[in-house]
Amino acid sequence: MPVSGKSPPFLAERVLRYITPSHEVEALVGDFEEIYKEICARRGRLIAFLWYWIQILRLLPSCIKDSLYWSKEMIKNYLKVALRTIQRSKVFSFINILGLSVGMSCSFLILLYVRYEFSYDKFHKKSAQIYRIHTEWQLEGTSQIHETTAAPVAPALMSDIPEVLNAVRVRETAAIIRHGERSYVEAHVYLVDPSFFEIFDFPLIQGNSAYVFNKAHAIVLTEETAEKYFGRDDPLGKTLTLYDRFDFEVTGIAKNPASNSLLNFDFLIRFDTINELSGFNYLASWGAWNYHTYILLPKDFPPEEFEQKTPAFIKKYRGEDSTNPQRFHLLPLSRINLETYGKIKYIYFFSAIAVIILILACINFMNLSLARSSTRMREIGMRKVIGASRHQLIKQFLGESVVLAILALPLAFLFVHLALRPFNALLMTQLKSDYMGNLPFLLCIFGLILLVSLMSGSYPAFYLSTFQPVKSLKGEIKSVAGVSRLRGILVVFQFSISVILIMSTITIFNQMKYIQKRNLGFKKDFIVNIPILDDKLRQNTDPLKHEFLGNPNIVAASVSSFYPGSYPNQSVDWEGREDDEELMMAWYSVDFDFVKTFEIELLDGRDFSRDFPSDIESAYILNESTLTALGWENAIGKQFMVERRGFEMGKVVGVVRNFHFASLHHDIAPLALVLFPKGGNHFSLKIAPANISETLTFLEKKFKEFSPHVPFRYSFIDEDIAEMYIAEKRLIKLVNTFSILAIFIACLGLLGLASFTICRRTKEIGIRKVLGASLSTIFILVTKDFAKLVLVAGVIACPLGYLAMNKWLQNFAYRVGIGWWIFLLSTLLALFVALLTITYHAIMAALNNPVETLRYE
Amino acid sequence: MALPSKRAEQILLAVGCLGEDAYLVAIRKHLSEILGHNLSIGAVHIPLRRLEREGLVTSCFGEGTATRGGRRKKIYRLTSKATEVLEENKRINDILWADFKKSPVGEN
Repeated sequence: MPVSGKSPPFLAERVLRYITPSHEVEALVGDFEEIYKEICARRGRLIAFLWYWIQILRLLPSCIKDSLYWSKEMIKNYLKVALRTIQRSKVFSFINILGLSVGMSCSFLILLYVRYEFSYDKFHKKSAQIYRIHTEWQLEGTSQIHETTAAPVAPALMSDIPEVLNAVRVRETAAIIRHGERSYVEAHVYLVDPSFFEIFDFPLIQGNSAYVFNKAHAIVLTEETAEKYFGRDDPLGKTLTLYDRFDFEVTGIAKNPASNSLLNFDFLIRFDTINELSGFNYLASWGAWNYHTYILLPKDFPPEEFEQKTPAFIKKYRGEDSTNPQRFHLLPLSRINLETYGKIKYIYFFSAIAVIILILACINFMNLSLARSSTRMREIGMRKVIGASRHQLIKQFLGESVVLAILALPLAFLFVHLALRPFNALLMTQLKSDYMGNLPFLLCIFGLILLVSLMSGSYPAFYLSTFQPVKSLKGEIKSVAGVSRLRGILVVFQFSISVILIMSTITIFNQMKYIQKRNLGFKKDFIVNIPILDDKLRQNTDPLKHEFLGNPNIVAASVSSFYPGSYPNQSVDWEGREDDEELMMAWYSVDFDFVKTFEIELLDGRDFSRDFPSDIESAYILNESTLTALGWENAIGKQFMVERRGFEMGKVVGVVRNFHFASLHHDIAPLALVLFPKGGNHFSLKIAPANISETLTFLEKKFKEFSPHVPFRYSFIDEDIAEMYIAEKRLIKLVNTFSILAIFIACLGLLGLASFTICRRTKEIGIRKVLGASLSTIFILVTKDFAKLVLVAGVIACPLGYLAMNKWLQNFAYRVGIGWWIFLLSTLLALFVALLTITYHAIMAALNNPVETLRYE
Repeated sequence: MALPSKRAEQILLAVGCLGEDAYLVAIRKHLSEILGHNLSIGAVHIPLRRLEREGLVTSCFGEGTATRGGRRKKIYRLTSKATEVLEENKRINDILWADFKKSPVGEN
């Protein structure tokens, strides 16, 4: 809107000033004003106003062209200078680029990983509508959510709730599969409903998904398993035998499921064969909640609406006065991978790592640039004299950061490529370096470069652009007190992180050692564990056991359902139980020799014994925790029972000392051992330490005599126990790698900084030498400051590291303490590495001939 | 030698005419009167910029006036190079006009 008075429109004039180059601004604005006033007088203010704006618009294209032209020229100049600067100090630039590329490659890897984890099962067309049903139970006063449902839930949902468009039950099981003479133990046999192919997108290369499950005993293979069993022959129509009893006909071959899918099947058979395979009517049982159910809801249907209907639904089938389960929860398909196994914690953890390493690298960059700032003084002074604005200088230095970051990029790609395989191996993922086709990813990379360069280059740019021309041309260095302090702080930060990481590594390592060394309360060395997969064998293990014991190398043998870390939970009944008391606890079926084989300490009463054959299925041995849980002082003779079908009330004959049947993450829970050899599914054989391979061959031979069609598998119990800590093993490797990277970057920074600082002090050193300082004095002088920084870093790191480690150790019910020596060791280690880094420069400086350094005074 | 555009040549001539008063507003006014329609500022300013870059005119600052809000004028002057170019163009033009017959096309 035209302003009052005869002055030109304010906004238009501002715009004009903005687009005109500074050397023309005054004249042009004046010209505009003059003509404006003329037109104003002649034809009125409105016309003049419009005229002003139109003139500006017509000037616009040309102004933009011009400014682009000059920008291009300036950019060429900046680029030239940037490249020259980099060439002139090759060592620095290399250190810079190396640090940056390490930071960038870490971020790439983590980006790839996060993207992979988030992409699970997104490839199904209907994946946004697929949910898994989780069941909420009220047990022992708390709400627990389990991911399993009962078999009849799915069909009942389909008939009762119209919004459920489709449902499928999925159960993963292990089975022995035989074709002809070849048999294998397969772990990824999936029992699914035919609707599996309707809901999920697993294309079939052979066979039609609509008909493939028409036969009751149909089995679908994947390309991999087809090749494994049939080689190049056509598998369709051939027979595979499960558990040596059930014949299945191959009706289809599916494409190998992608690795980023939870449904990682090798075989598919019909879910309703479960009754036949297990001998129990699970299909109709509302008491066995062991199966996954996935449902398909309409598009954009809010899952809460479904969840609200579920309490009523459950009551309908479990009985009006049932309290459990309470309701169903729906988990969207794409979130299942993230929520289980604490994956999302891993993702956050990794993202934090990437960010930290990137920050460390940027700090390096900042530090090195600042350190070198005095060498650019003259250039900056000249530019300012010629007329560069601060704005332009900032642009120039930011541009140099961008150039360095771009140069670091190919190196970063190389690192990622090299690291991909070990990374995949460590985390059991399958990341591929397929960036090229992936636009969002490329954009991310581009954004990353920008971010890195801006982050690292901003402070130096701002700092450098403030140099005053006269002072810098004279060679007077701006007072560097503030900057030195900042640089020192940055180094301290880097080394604190390193020290914390070293502490973490040591602590985790300690904990792992402790886990290995701790007495578990039972003998774990030299015990071979053979799973009994053959049903026939399971019914009658005594003959084979007898054969095994015939070999002098086999010291003891036992059959049980014991496997470290895994145990069934069942509700139990006991003498003196109140009506509303409930207890679910762990239990194992064992034989007469279990306690002896594992050398478990008996505290009270007696072991199961062949002298008391009536013990079978009615005698129990409890551990100490059970007595505590039940409030019993004396347990012997009291009535006790595990509420499993076929069991009746029995009595307690013995009490054993607590032993760690689960991992050391948990306190020792109540445990019951019941004499029930037929329920055992593992042979546990104590063997002599000598001639192990002979013994194993013998075992295999004997085993095959009794079970010719079943593959012979064995493991050592101490290995099985170690398996329980696989997450921690991974963690150690990760923290180790991470520590090394962080220290590497910190040392890189230190190296650059030290070499520069020491160079600047050569004159001082020369003078000191002339005055009589010894080599060691100089050395100490030069390294003193850096050592101080590292020590400060150590002091800062200790409390933080202690907190972090404490938190992690809470995961374990049985843990080591954090000794003070860990702090000392970590700090000293960091100090040692730091000194190592700067030794070269320090010694060189100390050895310099003072004549040379002082020559041009 | 770079050939200035038609408009640029006209501007050069105007600068030569106006002498001490050859600043953007005056040049624009001068040309607008002669051509019969109003030139936009850009039509004068941009060729002037180019001419200055190519060294055909130089500029200096004159005094400010009240109407310009106190801002100084940028006065343009022809360089010797410009005079050369103009005279060369005029020479060629004169030769071309010399034998011009004002007969309509087609009749002969």
